[in-house]
Amino acid sequence: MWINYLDQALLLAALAVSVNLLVGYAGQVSVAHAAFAGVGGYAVCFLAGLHGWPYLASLAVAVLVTAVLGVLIGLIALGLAEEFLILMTLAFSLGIIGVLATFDALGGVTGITGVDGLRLFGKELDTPADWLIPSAVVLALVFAVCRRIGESPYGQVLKGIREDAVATRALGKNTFGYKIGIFAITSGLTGLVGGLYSGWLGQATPSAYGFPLAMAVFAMVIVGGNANLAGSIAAGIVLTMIEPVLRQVLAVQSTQAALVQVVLYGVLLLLVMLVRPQGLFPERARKVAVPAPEARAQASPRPEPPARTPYDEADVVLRAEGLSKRFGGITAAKNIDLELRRGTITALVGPNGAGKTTAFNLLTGTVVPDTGSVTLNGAELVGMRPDLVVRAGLARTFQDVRLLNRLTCLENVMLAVPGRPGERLGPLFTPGRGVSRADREAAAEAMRWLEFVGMADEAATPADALSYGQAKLVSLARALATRADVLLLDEPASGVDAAWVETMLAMVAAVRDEGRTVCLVEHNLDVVRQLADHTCFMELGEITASGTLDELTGSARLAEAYFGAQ
Amino acid sequence: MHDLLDGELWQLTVNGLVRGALYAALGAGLALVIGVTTRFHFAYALTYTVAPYAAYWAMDGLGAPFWPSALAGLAAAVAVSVLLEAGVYEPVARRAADRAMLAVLVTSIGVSTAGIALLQLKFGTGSLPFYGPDQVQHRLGSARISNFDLDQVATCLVLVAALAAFLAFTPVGRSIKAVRSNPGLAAVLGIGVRRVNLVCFAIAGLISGACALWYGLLYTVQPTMGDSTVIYGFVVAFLAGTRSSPLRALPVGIGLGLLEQWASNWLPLQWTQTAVFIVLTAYLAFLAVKDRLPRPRPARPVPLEKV
Repeated sequence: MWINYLDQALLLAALAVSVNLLVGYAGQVSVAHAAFAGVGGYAVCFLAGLHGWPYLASLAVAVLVTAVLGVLIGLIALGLAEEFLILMTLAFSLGIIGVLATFDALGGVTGITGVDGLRLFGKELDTPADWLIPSAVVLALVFAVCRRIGESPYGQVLKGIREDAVATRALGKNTFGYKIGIFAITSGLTGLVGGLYSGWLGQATPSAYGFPLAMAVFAMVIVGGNANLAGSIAAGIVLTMIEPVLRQVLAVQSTQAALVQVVLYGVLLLLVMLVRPQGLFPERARKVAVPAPEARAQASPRPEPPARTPYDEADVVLRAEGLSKRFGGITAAKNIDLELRRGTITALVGPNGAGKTTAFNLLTGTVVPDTGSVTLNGAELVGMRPDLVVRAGLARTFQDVRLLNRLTCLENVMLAVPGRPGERLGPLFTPGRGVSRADREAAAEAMRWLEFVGMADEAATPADALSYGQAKLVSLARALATRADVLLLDEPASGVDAAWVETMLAMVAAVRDEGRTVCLVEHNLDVVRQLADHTCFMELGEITASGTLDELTGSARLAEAYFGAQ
Repeated sequence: MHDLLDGELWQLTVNGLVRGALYAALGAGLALVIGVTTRFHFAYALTYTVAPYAAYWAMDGLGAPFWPSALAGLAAAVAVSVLLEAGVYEPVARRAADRAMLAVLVTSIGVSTAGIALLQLKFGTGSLPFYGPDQVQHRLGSARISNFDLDQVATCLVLVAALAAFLAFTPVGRSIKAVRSNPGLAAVLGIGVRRVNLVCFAIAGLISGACALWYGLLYTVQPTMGDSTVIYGFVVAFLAGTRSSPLRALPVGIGLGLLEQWASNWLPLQWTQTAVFIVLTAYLAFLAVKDRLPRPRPARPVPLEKV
């Protein structure tokens, strides 16, 4: 009997590991994975149990079907707000099990029962002991896949999405694609586990894959710890063993023991959420080794700063023409024309609500303009996804910083380094050291940018432990690490004390001296005076004047528009 | 067509209206909770199930008559709902900070499943013999309708209308709308957000309890009776809008009820639940496609003259 429960524990632990990759790493809330396991279980029982397919082939079909279902659900729900994904997966859980129960060929409401004689690699899986090795192998396989993904650059992107999807997209990551990918992968893995689970049970029934199973798996993930896969295994095994302990040690009846187990799951879940929400085994931060100074020096050496070109003679890198945007009856931007010249700093100034941040949103594709055009080095940006805009060479920072709090400074900046092969699944599962080598190079490059902004000593510090001024510098390093030609800096000196303002000024000037083009939104006119080669004045969503800051502040009308009537 | 309306389709329409009123009321209660408190209250299934079980316990265990027992059932649903917010959701959300939605959802599923398992341990896993006043059948054209059906529809309509009036015309209702609009600002203005949340859960508990009591009288009382019903509640809440007037739940709920019943005319009975899933999928697909449709590139405008 104990071996039978051990089989179950291993399979439920595998289910918990795959759900943890989705919930713990990517922060996507799905309650459908018990149902996906059900689909896998039904597929195996139907094909292998009723139609004599080889067990391995039916498992492959189970994985394929559940992965495709995952993609379909993801395509619909993952681009919407979080609550819609929850709703969709809740309804799917109910709907799919209801659908399976309608087919006479699938046994109707009683499901497919009496499946036996399954064979794997020539060995018949008959007794609980026969299932031990396949269960352990599947757990090991699921763990290996999830760990490889979770602890890789791909996993870093997933954690970025979990922490702040908008900020991660602003680093050039196709967050929607990653979400679909991880949803499909974890759906496929749960389909595989479901196929084994139903094979072990010898049946696929609607009741086996309902909300109690979803809740049991959540309990394992939460108790074991978010983004801690080993914790999920430990919790999966311990929690599954509650029922046999109740039956054997405390002599509780079988039906009662199952119900008491569910009650204990609920109580445990609540207690952990109240006392230790991170779980008994907290997330283990991936140790990204801080590169040695010589390694940093080798990584993408910075070019010598080119000689500064006067503003009027510099090439136009980015040109916006006639950008307009209305939200209902409110005109947020009106016919914005803007030129950013190579190696110069352009400032956007104006009163609160003038549309400066909206202008950044329009330029970066975060908000699609109603009319107008944005060209970067002659290429049209309007209509491009925000992550593609970044990859084309236009990156931004945020007024409210938006660092990824539970990632270290180094990881925040590494995430912005483009072209890391480990962010794609193909290279991740290809033998060789290409991924780890590229990862070390990315770490070295990220360290170089942290050094550039004077934050190298804080490389291993989690972002949520930084002061506001430090966070702003790390966010500047992160934008620089995108290698974008043009940087849009949203209020880099706001909310920062005087000492940090001076540091930030020096940094932004150094960025220009690197040959990059900067556009900044700033309220502090002293900052603008010291930095800007050119200034545009915005009011009511429109650029109404441009020139040097002294020219603009010399206008009584603009001074009144900015500071109010004197 | 006339024959159809005289026959089975007319009966299905009447059934759809009855069932739809139930979905509308449940959806309105859930929309209030989600819209105001942002809690994904899966344990609505538990408060729904607790009411008829508590009423049954009062009748069977204490020998109380039906109506006082029904009141006890309502009180139990309200009490469980309020306790869930005060003792579970609020502390869990506070501890989880920026991941409150996930934490509350998972805890809610856990508490709901555990609570229903407790009911099963106490009352068994089968159906309960839940009887109330005498059921009388009436004829509505060629369709039959019972006094329970009519009472249930009236209860649901009154609950939804009363909720809408409560939100529109009472100071507490206006506070609820303020919190729904902007909880931070409402707190700054001196509105007790915790108290408002508790009021919302009390209302939702009352609605779920009333609906479940009628459902129990009409059909059956069993531990899993809330599972599918609460999904309908969620679907109605989101389709009608969690920040809209409760009155919008009426056409949505009734529409779903009619769809479900009419679908049973052409599809096997078990497939009717799927019709609701299809409606939800279509709605979400519409939202998803609407956001991602490629837009024609705007024409380049004539540059403005600068000041």
